[in-house]
Amino acid sequence: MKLPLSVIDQNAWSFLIIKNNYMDNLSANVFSSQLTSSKNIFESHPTLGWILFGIVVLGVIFVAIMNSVSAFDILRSKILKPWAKSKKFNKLVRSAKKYDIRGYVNKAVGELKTELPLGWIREIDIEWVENEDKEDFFHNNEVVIRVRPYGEQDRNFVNVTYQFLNRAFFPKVKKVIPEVQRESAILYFSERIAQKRGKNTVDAFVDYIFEPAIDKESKIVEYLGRYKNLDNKGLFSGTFLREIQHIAEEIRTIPQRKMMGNELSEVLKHLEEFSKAYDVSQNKGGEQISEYLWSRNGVVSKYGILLVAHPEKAMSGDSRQYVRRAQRFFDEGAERLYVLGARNENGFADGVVRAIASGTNYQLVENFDLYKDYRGNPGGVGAVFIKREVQND
Amino acid sequence: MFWKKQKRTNIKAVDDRDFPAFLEHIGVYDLVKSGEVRCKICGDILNIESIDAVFPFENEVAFICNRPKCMVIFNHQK
Repeated sequence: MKLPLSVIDQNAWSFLIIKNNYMDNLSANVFSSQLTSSKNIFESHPTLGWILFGIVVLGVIFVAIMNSVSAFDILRSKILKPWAKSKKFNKLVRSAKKYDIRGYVNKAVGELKTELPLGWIREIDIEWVENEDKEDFFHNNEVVIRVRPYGEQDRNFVNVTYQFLNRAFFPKVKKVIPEVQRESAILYFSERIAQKRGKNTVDAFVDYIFEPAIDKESKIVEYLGRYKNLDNKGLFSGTFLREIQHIAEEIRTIPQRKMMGNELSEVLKHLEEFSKAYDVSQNKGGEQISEYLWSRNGVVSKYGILLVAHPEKAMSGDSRQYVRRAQRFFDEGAERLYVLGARNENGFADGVVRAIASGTNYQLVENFDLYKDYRGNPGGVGAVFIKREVQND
Repeated sequence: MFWKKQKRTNIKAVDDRDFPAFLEHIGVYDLVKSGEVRCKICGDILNIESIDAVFPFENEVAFICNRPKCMVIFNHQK
């Protein structure tokens, strides 16, 4: 017998409803019976319940730590490395590349964060976008980097790092900073990060980033040398970069904007002269640093430098002389004050910073660490102050 | 919340093996295959192997080739 189509449709529809209801009831029953039996087990064995709960909580914490500590990323990349060379495990290969780059860059970021101006740099993440469609691609409006096979991981590493620093450095004022000086600063830190991963990565940096950059602009070599010398005396990331960021922010909307290059060169020259004068003053019978070198009074940039430099004062904890000196800078018109402390006297330098913050008209803006102190030893601390806003009654 | 996730700088990337599929998703695979795209910096004609970066530019998909100098120049201009 042949049934009309509408009857078949009706029967099929009713069957589907009955089947779905049956499945819903079945799954609900199965789920609820499992829940009840689990509940019974936990009620009769409360310790087991707590142990399982503890394991889940620890697991969540462990995964969160794994994702936020760069050392774990490096460890994971090393564990995945043997699979990364195989062609079979696509997902493992991608993870190995990602954890390797993320781990080493974030390890360096952890150190640079306290050196560089506040808010410049934060940790990196790599987002795989192979499933992004045309609409997402244009909406996101960002560069997508191709990550080459694992055999070229050094090249991948320096490419991603260079992209990352280009995005991070000189936030909001990129266009105000002359290209050569900006590029030199980015290259300087790219090399420092490459050094963390080893010699092959430094070689890749030279081949794929440094040489092409020099080909384009030969003056970069000169600036890189000058930046390195300043950083070896704690005056690059601590004072110079903060001062250029400050100048750029001040003048980006006013006619003096075109003087940025000149102002920047003058700050660099001043800090170099100061550093040389300090070296001379340390020689036996050497001349003391001239009074005019302790501060700079430029068109936009007006700052003073205070070195926390006397071990005997550090021993006695006497910061009064520094407070008086800081107030004198204020009276003479220094709008910003940099206080730099040597590694061996970190604690005393922190005390001086606190004393200046409470005993002068300066307001503390930021504390920072130094790659090297003004004596050239690794470490050191610094702080930058600005003039306190005077409240009119 | 006891654990606050830090904001990170995201770098968008595509793995080498997924690159052809990615080009297909953004609708340029056939153009690349038929040699109709050029490096935005040096102007060389590109194939799948010679592309190092892709970015949106004036409502079109633009490409940077695998010559290191092009990537550096591109970063200067960004």
